[in-house]
Amino acid sequence: MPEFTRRNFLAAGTAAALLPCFPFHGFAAEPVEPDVLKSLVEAGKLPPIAERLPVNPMVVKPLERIGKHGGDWNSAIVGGGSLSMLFRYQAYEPLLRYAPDWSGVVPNVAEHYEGNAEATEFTFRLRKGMKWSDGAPFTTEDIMFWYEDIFSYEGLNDVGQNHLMAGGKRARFEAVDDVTFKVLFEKPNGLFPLRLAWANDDQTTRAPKHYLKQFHPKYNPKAEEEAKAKGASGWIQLFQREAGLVVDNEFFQNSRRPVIHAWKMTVAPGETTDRAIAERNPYYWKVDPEGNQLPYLDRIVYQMVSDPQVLLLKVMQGEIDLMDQYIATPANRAVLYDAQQQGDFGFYTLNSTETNEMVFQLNLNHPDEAKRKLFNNRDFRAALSMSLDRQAIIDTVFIGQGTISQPAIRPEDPLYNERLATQFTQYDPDAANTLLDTILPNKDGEGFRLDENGRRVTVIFEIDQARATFLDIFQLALPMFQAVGVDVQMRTMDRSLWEVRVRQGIEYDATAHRFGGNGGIAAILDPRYFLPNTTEALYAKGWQLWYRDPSSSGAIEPPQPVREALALYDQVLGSPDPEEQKRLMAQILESAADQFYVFGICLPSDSYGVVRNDMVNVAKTMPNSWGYPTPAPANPETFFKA
Amino acid sequence: MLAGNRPLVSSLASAETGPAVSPLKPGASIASDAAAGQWTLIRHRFFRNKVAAFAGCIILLLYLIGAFAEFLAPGLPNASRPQYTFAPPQRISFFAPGADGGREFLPHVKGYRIEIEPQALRRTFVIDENKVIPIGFFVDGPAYRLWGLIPMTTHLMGPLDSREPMYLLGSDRLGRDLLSRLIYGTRISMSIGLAGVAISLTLGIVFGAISGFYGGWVDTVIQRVIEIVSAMPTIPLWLGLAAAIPLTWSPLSVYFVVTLIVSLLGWTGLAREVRGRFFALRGEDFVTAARLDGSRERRIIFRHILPSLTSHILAVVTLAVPTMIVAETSLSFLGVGLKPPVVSWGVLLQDAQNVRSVATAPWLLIWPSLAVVTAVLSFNFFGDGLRDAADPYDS
Repeated sequence: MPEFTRRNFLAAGTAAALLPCFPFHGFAAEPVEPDVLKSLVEAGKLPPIAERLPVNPMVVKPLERIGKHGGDWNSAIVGGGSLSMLFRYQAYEPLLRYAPDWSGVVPNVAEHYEGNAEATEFTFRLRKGMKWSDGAPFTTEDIMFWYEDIFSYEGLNDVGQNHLMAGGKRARFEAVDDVTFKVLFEKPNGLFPLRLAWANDDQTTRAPKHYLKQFHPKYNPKAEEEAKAKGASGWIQLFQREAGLVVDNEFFQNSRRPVIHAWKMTVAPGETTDRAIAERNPYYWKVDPEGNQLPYLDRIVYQMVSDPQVLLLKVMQGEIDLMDQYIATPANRAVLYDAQQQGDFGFYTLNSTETNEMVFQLNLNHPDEAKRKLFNNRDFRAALSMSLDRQAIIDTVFIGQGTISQPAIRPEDPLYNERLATQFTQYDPDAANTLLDTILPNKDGEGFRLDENGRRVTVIFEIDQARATFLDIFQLALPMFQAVGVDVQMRTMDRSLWEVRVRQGIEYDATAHRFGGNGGIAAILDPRYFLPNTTEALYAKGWQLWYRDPSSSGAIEPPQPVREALALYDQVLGSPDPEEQKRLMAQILESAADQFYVFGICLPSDSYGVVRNDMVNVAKTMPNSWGYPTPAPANPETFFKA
Repeated sequence: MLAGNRPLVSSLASAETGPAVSPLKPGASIASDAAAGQWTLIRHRFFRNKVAAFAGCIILLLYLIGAFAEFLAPGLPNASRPQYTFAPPQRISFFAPGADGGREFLPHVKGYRIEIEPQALRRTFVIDENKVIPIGFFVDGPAYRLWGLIPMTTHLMGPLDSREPMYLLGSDRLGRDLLSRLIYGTRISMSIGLAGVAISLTLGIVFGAISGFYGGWVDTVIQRVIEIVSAMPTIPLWLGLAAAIPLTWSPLSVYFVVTLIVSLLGWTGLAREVRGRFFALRGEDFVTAARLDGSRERRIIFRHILPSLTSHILAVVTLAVPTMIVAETSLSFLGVGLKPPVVSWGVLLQDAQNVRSVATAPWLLIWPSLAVVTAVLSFNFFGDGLRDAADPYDS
């Protein structure tokens, strides 16, 4: 792996939490007004730049060179689908953000922060004079509005925000003055700064009080009636739609709500069918070292494209400036490679931060007694794993580019656990048959194994059909499983149906997915395949529910070793000391190797993105992750067109 | 019906000097046609239409291919070879340089030279003119069970050494032989969807005939039922089906059941048309004559009136069949259409509908399209010919 320094994540992250830290210096010059805003200022429609910027604007050093104002960033959105990818481009402004190399966090909206030694109290200082995109001041009043009237308000916003939980209790916010506030936990929350910067988790910077209070009954006694007059079922529905904190799409479909982002939606997705436009925020609070207000690019223009193949053609024609979503599949690489000249673009590398190309997950909490017993038999999973000819799959699907591995930490990371990564990866149908002959000795006429009740053992993997790589791998893997007498089948379905059946359901036999951390920050924040800590652990949703709340419906008490691992993870979350966290993580990984919950194919190879040759300041390599969220921490506000 | 209804025309036509209304061309055997029954007449006329006869042969051939797919395919449809992803088609040559320096008769294909381009993430194939892979008929290849029953290893055609690559139509992105997949796909594409067509057809004719023949309250009831059925929103119905069908069913049986259910909704259009024709025909002289002759209602409907609609019904069928083939995969997004690992023409076409295939492996699009086009055209010409042959009124 290139310079992606996983090994230093935790140390750097926590050091940043403890030290007053301001990463960029050198802002001395007078702020420079973007050309497009000059006429507005002269006409008196906009205050001069000095009044729009905070006292201490954030200085962002462009990667290559100082840019010039102007130009459009041509991008695209596919279908009517998820808009959460827009966080990647225009809306990543948490209190703290990840450093571009993902080595830790740096101040962002908060110009300064510190935590106490027990990791129970964190103090943040906002930028004095910072403003929303409509010119209203951004202060701790907005933060407290979010905390008191949204986060803590009965009936509102009860999803997510796990980074504000410690020891099962919610954090408490206290405002000190206009720019200072504290976040207090009852139990240590050592990972808090790292988790605060995760993709769109931090909502404190996204709730403008002066706009949202008109929809809130605490400030507007008529909120309920007005909401009903607007066709909502009640004020809660209207408020959530206006705030856009619950459903990602709604956040971007509202162009009236002010934001603090570099660009704000002026033509929101859904307002017209052919495109969405985000324009520069005149009150954006970041400048380059020469004082030029950021962003450099005036607008982001998203074309609405009906499907990924159309987008691929547009990229090949050079109509898109930067794109890695939707189209950057191994299969498309050859086509894009040949079109580089024609489309005047090049590639950047996306370093994988995922555990595996594909993770086979049997439902260990299956409602069917016989299946649950079988799937929980480690030898059964080991046998399936050994029946896979991984090299053949790699040669076919990834053109030979990939290293055989189970879902595990990458070899170059200090947390690497060799047993976890390599056990049962050898292609050994004889060993698999031997194991299976002990568990399932009987076979039917077609050579398929029968369970203790005399039924054929059938394992149906339910797959989201949009994941082309998974379908390819399965078409190769199914005959391999069947060769050792296990009737493994695949059912592909639309994403929405998959969400209902697998994400929300419990009655599936098995599924496959990817993601999950493979080292450093990612592994500690998202260890889904090393223990069932989140809903993303599709192999053991009952255990995961038990971990969150043993009394909830659907909770299944896990066996002793799993309970121990979950307790260890609680200690990781509570520990302020990075060395201690690593030591505990190592124990969790050892337990994961014992348990062997899931199996995979190979380490994910690096992916790629396409960038037009005239886009400047785009990093040549970036970590590839939703949590990071690529390319936002690499400062898209400094991108410009030469 | 024809024999009874229009004996005059037939006998006139049998004379070479007969009037121009003769449906028979000169040269037909007088003796055979003079006393021929209706189906014989249709058959004679049909075979005079060369295009239709040819199309009929193609359809027969396609069904034979489907029936003996395992034997005819050089390989297995899902057998993948990692090193031959997106391998281009090979050409068959008949003469190879012999041991003595001359040329000898040796049917063969040329091997590949393969290079991996890690930057572009692809394999490039160059046909290696020096690498001769002899091929032959009735060779030993991968083991299979004919019709799932008889274990065999003989394939109609293939490389003499089954480890050597032979991709006459190229290979797909997982290194599977397109020719074999196309042959296996014939079986599914030419059979399963057509069951639905048959059911729609039967229902449409029966209900349309009853409705049109009896009229009155029977007609009213059937027509209202048709309206209710046509008003049924189909997408929610399929959504419900997708949720109701147990996941343990194989994709093939799911698809079969869904086509059957779709056909239970799809008969209404034909029923309306048939009813209209019945309204028009039931007052005709030949119907009255049949009734006065003492024919029972069933006989009047199915022996007298219905055959006059044959041409129309055939046209409907020939249009429905290709629609069904192309629509195989259209329901996949609900999880009820045909999907990999099932091999059908629709699945092959869907696999090829991306820029990668069109730009760098066009054979993946060309051959399945050709198969569908051939089948569709054949059905159309065949149906056309049948209709012409069955139409008693052409000049």
